[in-house]
Amino acid sequence: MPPGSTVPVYAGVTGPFPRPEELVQATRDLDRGRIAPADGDAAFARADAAVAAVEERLRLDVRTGGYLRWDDLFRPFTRLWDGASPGPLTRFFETNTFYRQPVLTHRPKGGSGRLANWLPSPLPGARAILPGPYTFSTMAEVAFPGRGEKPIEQIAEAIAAEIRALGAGRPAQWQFQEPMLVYAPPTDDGESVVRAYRTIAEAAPSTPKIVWTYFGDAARTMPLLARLPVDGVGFDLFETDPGATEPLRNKAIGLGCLDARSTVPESVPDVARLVREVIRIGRPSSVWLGPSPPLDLLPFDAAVRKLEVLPPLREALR
Amino acid sequence: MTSTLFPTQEIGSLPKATPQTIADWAGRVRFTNDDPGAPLPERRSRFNLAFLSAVGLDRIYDGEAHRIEMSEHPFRSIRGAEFVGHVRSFDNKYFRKAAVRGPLGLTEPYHSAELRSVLATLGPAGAPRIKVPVTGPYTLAEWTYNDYFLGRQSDRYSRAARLRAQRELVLALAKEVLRPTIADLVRLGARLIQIDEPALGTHPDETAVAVEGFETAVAGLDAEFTMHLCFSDYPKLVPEILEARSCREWALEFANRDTPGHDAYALLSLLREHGDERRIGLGVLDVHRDEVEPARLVADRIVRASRHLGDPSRIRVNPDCGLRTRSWDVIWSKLEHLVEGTRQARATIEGSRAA
Repeated sequence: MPPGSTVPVYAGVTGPFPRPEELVQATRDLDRGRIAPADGDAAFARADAAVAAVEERLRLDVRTGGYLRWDDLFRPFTRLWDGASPGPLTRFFETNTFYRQPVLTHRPKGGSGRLANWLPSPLPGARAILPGPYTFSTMAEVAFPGRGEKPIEQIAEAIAAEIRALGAGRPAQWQFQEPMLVYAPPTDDGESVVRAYRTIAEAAPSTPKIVWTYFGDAARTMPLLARLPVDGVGFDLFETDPGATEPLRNKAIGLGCLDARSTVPESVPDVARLVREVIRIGRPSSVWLGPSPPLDLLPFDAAVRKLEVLPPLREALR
Repeated sequence: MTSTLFPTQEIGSLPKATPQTIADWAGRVRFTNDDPGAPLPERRSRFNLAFLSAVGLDRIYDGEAHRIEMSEHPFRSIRGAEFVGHVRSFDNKYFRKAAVRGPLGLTEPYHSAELRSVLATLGPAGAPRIKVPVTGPYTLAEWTYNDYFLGRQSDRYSRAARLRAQRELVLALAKEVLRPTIADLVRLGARLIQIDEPALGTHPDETAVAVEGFETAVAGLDAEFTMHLCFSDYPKLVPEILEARSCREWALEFANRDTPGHDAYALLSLLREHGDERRIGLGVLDVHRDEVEPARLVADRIVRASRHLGDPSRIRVNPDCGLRTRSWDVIWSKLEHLVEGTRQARATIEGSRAA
């Protein structure tokens, strides 16, 4: 940040956290019938507490709880939504990890209120992280007639219904994971994406919303990202040219600045220099620092060491 | 017996069969030499070979029965790297992921024992049917934490530095790890080796690095090499990928993107436009769906591909990718239809030639 600038800088986790080694072992034991389900639940509770303790110790500005129980980005929805089911195992982008492709056999219907069970407790500062409608519709198998509507709009309506159903249990901030927006952007004008986010925005008019992209260079999608009716846009700091951020002026900018390709923690002075460049060009209303791809591509201990970079980085920029 | 037109082949890993699965299928696939006292990976290997033979594929391997997964298995034999913890593969399944921490070396060629086992199972007459899959240097690099080479860059956060570090890692893996591993396979008698590069689609701008790694690993070795790519935006890899001169066949995924109204096989005309005359391992089964492709659809795909390519004799027929995520029933049905569809396509093409 240029000296004297007043752009607020925040930091937090931006996706699922890796499972601690104890939980890795417990879930394996659970699958093989070596421990009772109650012991598995207890292991999850200890792991949830371990992630919460890390977020607390590092004084992060948002709390996520780590999403340790989410089997993949879409699984809660394929369990909760009538008309959706977890389908074939499919490679998650070009990582060595997989997800169950959502199969939508008819128009998804959300809004039962049970999504609350999958989200962090609605404490002050809780960030709820959901799949974005473009990524969801692109990565799902849609096996029902569209009746003239695009699946993205139907998925957006189902997500909006979930948000409305949470009522007072809403988080302080919504984040929507949209790696597909930079990995395989829409080939049309992207208006259906804008409409989808309008639907979602109407369901949570007073809660800050940020769209988070990763797994690619956001530069070519920046004009579309800037049109989305959300408060902020996140992108990979190391993949995206700072010069491309100008269309985001006066929005919140999220910067993925922890690289899951390496276990070596980032250098605070070096990353701070890059962030200052983005602030100089993009002139955002605020900056949110976080991992770029979710940290669950790292083992737990390595992820914690990476995350420990965020507080001193935030301080260096304030 | 290998068919002259449209030989069929498997492409990758199969599920890890349980003893119960082996027992359930033994009769159907004529698996008569099971040894319940043998280590389970060995039993799986023999079972998989029986399974793939019984369904009628021409070129086979053992479904990677001895391997843990594509990255952890090689890194158990690589010096200069260490496992740093578990990363979730899916659900409650995990793999140990390695970080490169120093100069790389090989403790021992890591596919030789399994090839010896496959050769022993198939016997001398079966040896020409063997196609050994090997994870390529680019994919190994991409699925590893590149701490060592990245740490040596002065400007590690720039894209140029990451590309340099990636190239150094790919070439080190190709030279110090893959080449001696593959050379030993050749020494043992492997004549057909498939280099798997599923991660190449991640960064199409690094295609030249992947090609350099491929050539470093295999150039001059006495075997026929194929490269398997999947779920990539192929046009973005061309023309750089075509510089892999030691590659004799492109084993590609198509069925996943072949939908009514969209002929995925039209992509083959791209190779024709560039004058590339290598063989094609034609993906005709979508490995991500349980729905079994009818044999007539398989045949239609092969015939369409033949027309786009302009030379049916260059086509080998395979699933898009490994079938390890499907159930044994689905795998059997899909492969059965692959074999039958290939027979129908053969009849169509040979019939049109005769006419």
